[in-house]
Amino acid sequence: MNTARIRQILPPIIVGFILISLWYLAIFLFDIPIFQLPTPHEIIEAGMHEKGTLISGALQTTLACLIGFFTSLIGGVLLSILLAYSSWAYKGFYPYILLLKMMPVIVLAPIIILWFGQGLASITVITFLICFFPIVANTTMGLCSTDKNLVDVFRAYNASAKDEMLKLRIPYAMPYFLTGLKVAAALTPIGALYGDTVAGMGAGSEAGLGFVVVVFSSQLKIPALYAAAFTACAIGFIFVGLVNFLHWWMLHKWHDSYAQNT
Amino acid sequence: MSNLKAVSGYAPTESEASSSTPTAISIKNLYKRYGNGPVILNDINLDIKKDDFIALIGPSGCGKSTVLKLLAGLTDKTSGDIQFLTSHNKQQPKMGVVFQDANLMPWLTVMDNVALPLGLKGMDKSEANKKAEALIEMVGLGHVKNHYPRQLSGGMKMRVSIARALSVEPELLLLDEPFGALDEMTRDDLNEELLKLRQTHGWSGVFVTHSVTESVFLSSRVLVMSANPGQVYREIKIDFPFPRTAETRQLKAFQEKVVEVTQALHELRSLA
Ligand SMILES: Nc1ncnc2c1ncn2[C@@H]1O[C@H](COP(=O)(O)OP(=O)(O)OP(=O)(O)O)[C@@H](O)[C@H]1O
Ligand SMILES: [Mg+2]
Repeated sequence: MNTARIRQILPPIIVGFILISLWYLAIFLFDIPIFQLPTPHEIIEAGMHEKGTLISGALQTTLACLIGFFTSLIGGVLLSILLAYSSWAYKGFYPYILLLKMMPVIVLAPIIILWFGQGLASITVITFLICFFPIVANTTMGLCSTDKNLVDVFRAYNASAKDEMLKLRIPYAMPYFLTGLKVAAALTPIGALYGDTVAGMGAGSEAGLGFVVVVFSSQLKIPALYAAAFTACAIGFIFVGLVNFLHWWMLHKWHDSYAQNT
Repeated sequence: MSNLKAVSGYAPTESEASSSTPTAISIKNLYKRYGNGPVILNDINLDIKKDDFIALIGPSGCGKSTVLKLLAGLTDKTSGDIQFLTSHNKQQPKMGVVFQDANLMPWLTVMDNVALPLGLKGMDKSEANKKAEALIEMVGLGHVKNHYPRQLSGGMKMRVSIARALSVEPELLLLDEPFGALDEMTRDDLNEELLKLRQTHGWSGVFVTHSVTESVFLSSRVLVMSANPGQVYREIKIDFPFPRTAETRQLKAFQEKVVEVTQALHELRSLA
């Protein structure tokens, strides 16, 4: 058990160590200037120096991520259930949902800003739009592809339509939904950061990380720019990690994706 | 018949008894097409008596599963009549269905799978669990009652499925190739267990099988069906008394029945 744990953790630590060594080595060998590639310790230093800006930026971005993610989760699930419940709604809405999905958010951004103004509202709407479709597409697919044989079991025992939804179709769709959620979680920080760069507010505590990146880059604070990028990575990492944990927690007992071969 | 009895050395057969038992289900002039497709079932007539256990055997695609689905109300008949003449004169008798591939809910434990039909009927959870637990013990799976289906072998899944079907205390049990995916030994064991269960619970039943031996061992009547369209080609009465055991398989009379069913299937093939 413990050795298995170690065997899990050891390879990424070793690879990380090698990468950082290569990093230093490259800077040393090729004489890369600090404004192109700072060393890891310079980045950490710059990060400590800009701590205040980075933390408030991270908080702001996290807030946009949370709002965008949870509204798209709730909205996406409700829409999916509606689509799955009524084949009329499905046929009617789905083409338009796809159409909206095809439209790149980059194109929509100016319109969104026009409607919601600069700031958090627009940023969360952009995040929402980016997260929404993977959730709807996956959940709807899950709800609509219920194993016909399992439906027969429910019908044979005279299940009500409500029981069929609650005890069959929703549990059946759970792995699909969680897969959609994983995709959405990975996209959430991208949405929030992109939202920041187009609709972010410059002043103090309202500046998200995306905006901080823009500012640092225009000020040529390169090590700080790297620090901001790593902070953004950390947010994404935590987000995806939490959703992966949720995926595991909901499915590991019964789903084949967690079947043990040992 | 008489010489079979002499060979088997068994007490008088059930044939006289079953002719006097009441009919539970009466199928008359049953036709079935899916949509505008070809005729799948062509004029099926069948009386299922209360103590009947009927085997359906026949080539793939002849409509055996369709017969079960019609009985279970999972698909609509095109014309004809299925009458349920149960004790309390309800629309449908209480029915248990065992599907071909167990069809367990992968997200439910063995316990919850068995209790599922009871929950759907609105029985409260603790009572349903108590009943489920007893059934799980009965099919010999007490030690895995909190396991999930993916942790079970094929034979165990099948037993869970049977326990689930029995949970509703069925008057009619429908089984679609319940042991099709199992090896010969496990299949024989489960066959015997199934007959023991029938002895204690006393449902009438219809089951589909591709195994001639199984059809003879389990049933009171074997219906050999022909395909395109599905029809009853021959009905073969199997009148060894229940309970049947491993020794039953050794009897010469048993072997003769197996030959008879096999021959009927061969005739079908040469007709086609
Ligand atoms: N839902 C359906 N829609 C259209 N045709 C169907 C449907 N289900 C079955 N059929 C057709 O009905 C015929 C009989 O099917 P059925 O499943 O009853 O056969 P079966 O005797 O159980 O075969 P097997 O032994 O292979 O299970 C087949 O030709 C099949 O193509
Ligand atoms: Mg079949």
